[in-house]
Amino acid sequence: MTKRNIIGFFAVIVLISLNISGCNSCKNRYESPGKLKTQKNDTIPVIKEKTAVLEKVTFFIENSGSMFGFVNQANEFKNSLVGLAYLPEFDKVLKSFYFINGTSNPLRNSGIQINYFSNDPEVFKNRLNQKSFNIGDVRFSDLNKMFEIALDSAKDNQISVLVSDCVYDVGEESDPLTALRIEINKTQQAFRNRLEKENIQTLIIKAGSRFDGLYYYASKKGSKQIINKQRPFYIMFFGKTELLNKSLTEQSIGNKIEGLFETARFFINDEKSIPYQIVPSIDIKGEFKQDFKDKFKLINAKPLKGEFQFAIAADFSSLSFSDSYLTSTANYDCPYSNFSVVKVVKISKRIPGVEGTHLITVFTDKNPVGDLEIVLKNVAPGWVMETDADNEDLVDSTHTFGFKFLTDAISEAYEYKNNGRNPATFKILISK
Amino acid sequence: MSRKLYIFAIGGTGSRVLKALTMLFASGVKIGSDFETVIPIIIDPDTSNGDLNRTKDILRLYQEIRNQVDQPDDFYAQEIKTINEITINSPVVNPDYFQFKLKDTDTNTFNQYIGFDSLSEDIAEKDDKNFVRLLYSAQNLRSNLDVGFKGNPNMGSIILNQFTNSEDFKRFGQTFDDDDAIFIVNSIFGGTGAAGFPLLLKNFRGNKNIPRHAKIKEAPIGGITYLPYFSLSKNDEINAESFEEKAKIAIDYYNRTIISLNQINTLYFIGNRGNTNQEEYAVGGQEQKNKAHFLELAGALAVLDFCKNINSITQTTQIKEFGIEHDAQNLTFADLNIENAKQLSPPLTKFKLYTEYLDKGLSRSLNTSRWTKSNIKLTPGNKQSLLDKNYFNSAEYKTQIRSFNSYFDEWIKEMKDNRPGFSPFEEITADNALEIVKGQTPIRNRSFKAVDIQNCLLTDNISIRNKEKKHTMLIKIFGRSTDKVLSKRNLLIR
Amino acid sequence: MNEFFGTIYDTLFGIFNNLYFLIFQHLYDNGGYVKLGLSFILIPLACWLLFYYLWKYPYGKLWHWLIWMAVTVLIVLGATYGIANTEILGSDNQALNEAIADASTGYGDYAATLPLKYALANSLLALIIGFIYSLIMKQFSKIQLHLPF
Repeated sequence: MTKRNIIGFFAVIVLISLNISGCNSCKNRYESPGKLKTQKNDTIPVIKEKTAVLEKVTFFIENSGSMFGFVNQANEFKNSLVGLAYLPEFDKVLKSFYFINGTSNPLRNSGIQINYFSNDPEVFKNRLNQKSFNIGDVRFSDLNKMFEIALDSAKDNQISVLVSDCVYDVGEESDPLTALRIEINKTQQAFRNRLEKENIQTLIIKAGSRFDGLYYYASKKGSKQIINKQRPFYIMFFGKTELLNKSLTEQSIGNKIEGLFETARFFINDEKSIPYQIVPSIDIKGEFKQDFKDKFKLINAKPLKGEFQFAIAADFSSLSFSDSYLTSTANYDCPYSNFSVVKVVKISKRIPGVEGTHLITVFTDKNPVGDLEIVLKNVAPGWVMETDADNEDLVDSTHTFGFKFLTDAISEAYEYKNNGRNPATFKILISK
Repeated sequence: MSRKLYIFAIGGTGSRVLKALTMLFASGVKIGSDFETVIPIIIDPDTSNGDLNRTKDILRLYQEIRNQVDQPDDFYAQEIKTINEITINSPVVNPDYFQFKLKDTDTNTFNQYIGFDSLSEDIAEKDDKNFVRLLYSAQNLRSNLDVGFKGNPNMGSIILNQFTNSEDFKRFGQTFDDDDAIFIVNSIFGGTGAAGFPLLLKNFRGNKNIPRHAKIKEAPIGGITYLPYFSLSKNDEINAESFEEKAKIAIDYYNRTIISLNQINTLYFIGNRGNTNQEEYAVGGQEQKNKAHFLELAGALAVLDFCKNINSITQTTQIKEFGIEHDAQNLTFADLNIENAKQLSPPLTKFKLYTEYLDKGLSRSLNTSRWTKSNIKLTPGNKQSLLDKNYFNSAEYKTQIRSFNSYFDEWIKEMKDNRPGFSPFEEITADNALEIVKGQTPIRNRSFKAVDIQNCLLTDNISIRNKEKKHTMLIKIFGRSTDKVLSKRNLLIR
Repeated sequence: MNEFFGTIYDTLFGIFNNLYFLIFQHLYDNGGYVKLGLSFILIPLACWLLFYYLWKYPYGKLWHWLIWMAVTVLIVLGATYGIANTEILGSDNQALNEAIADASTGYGDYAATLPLKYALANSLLALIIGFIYSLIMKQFSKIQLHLPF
């Protein structure tokens, strides 16, 4: 070999190596965000809507007879309400406080009474007593009408709050449940109508408080004396999802509500997709490989001992569900598929390459091949069923007569509007 | 227009000049000027003469090799044929046909030949015997003729006369065409040559009994006459000291009878006084095997010169002499006239490198280098070499190529050892092969590797491949590869 | 092409582990697989082109070819090791680097084994492809036509 040839040879080798290792064009050509993908787009949408700014909060406090027992003394009821009135998020916002009672039922010879009493939370605090409550028509309450009015006040950038014990007044009906059903229809209608115009979220907070007073039966005549026992009461917020999510997170609520509480949220599911990704390193059972090109595809899928399992990570930060809701597998579904969601955990320790808030593990002991769709449903949380009572024999710290009907009605109205949309849908393709 | 050149090589000198010319032809020199064929005719009664037999063998090998080369264009380009082949058009190579026989010289003595005994001894009437005794010594009369005329042209002229009436000579006439030419090689101091030259000329220009004599009469004729250029180790029947005397007398005769009568178109003279080599004394026969001399090579150049200027031949005799640039004990190409150097350097250097390669370099590459392999896998037939182990072990290679090459090497060596010596080449080994030219040292690699590389590159070349004619590839590949290797390093004078 | 090479390494050679998927994701996204793949294709190509068309040595024997094959394979081994090392351990992929730096993930230890694995895989591929190149290229070589046989 001549010297010239040797030099030429090494030049070629060096050129090749440089080309390969410093191949910038390769990088650009093959680069894709890859880390977290939404279903439709390759990147998380950058366009932001005009952020809504809260302008007004309107409080409606039901002051019918059965509420008097809540304001007899210093208790959780008062503290929680005042706490909410003083929510830091409401500081700079115009507030209005109203009492509301009476019924629009023509048989009752009554009428809805709305009494404005202040825009100052301090005044509000001082009006939480029996004497101040005794205004309007304390004999009756009209849940449907109250909903209507509260919903109506939650327009544009306003939030409205309704405080009630959520008992439907069905009169002395021989069949209270049927009567309830009729009432429920009206509730549903009220919500449907409202949802027609705007995307309103309904947040129901169930809290408990000491009650000292009379409980007036809704389905029969008479009342019951309750001396210093816990009773549930409800604070319902209505307003744009965006506003409610910002001001009324689980944490902010938790800071102000005294005692235990539960929440249920009803809202229109967003078009915006929830970002998710497959996490091939967690909870693996069986063999598979994540497809390089299509990151939502698993190839070479093979069960091990008949079992196939893997996990995905989702970013639920844009949803306002509580952690307990999100980690409950009952709230997930894998329709038309052999899979089922077996575990959902909040991500506490950072997983390399994973951006998300929760890990969802899916499992099957049948053939894993096919289209897998995992949905997060928006269903009534478990506590709703536990709260419900279909008669008034038991008046205690957890049950509310006909509560299920109430939440069903609201839920159905929202389902109607949602038209099958789920808060989050994850699609994975699995092939051999 | 294809012409033939007939070369009449008379005596020992003629044989040796013919040998040198054949070596030049083997090295790729061509006569040119549309001369397609060279027909050598050796005239020498000394049938067992060492030089004669060497030359005949060389001519035979030349033909055998050339017949196995398809359209040679470098080495062995020039066609050499015997008269026999021309007349009968037979492919048989019989070296004896290069020689014209002299009758009745095998067994006779001179007096028997001339029928001396039957001559009259009657002093009074036809005193023929005594008259003959005036011309010939008793020794002359007793001489055996089978070894030539031992330096006595007076004998030669008588006996050679028969030659022109021979069958061979008649056949020569029959084959003579328009535009053919004749060249005669002789020495002035020898027995055969001195006598035969004027005899031949006389017949060419005047003998009406030869077929086609009209053509021959008008044909271009050239000749080279050798003046003394060697001496003998002792003086006996042949007296080297008498060479010069004889030369003078002969030249005088030529002057009167040949030159001034314009019998020959071009006459070349060559010789060397002083510093001459001494040959082993031998009176003809096998023993007369003179060492090759540079002057014989120079005489071959005369043939080339004659043919080159064939179209500007004049009717009046032109005389030419040979000279070199530098007088040296050991001549190299640089000592010659530049034109001669250009004529000799490329062919001889190439051929020498070729013979040296086959002798010293082949062992390294045989069955290793691609150009010697015919069993390469996954390769079509037209890329396999025809010069494989089988070829180099074949009878044809050994008996033809190797034999010829060894004659060539011997010829070069003899010229080197002669005085003045002609030694343009160094002794080489396989590792410094390219230092072959004296006075030239190429840079970088000097081994035969360069030749092997060229051979590899040439193996696929379709123009050098021929399965029927066995030596085609060898001759053609080396002609090209030695040329490339040597010219790239400026080792050839061009 | 990226996918093709990726499949060669992770499926054919089994250089893959779901537990450390981030590494392989990164190799794909960054064109790392292409670089590895081109190494075993282009380096032997250059080496054998040299051998068959630039090496003017007329006495080549089988052992020359074998040595050259070894040289080629070694160059590929070294180059691949370097490329894999740079791609995996010297990248600017923040998530990957964090994972490697964090000993509890196990990424660091696993990643350290990869350059050698890729280097060995490529060596085998270079051997095979080198052989194929030889068989093809020798047809057009004038001096080394007879190698390897």
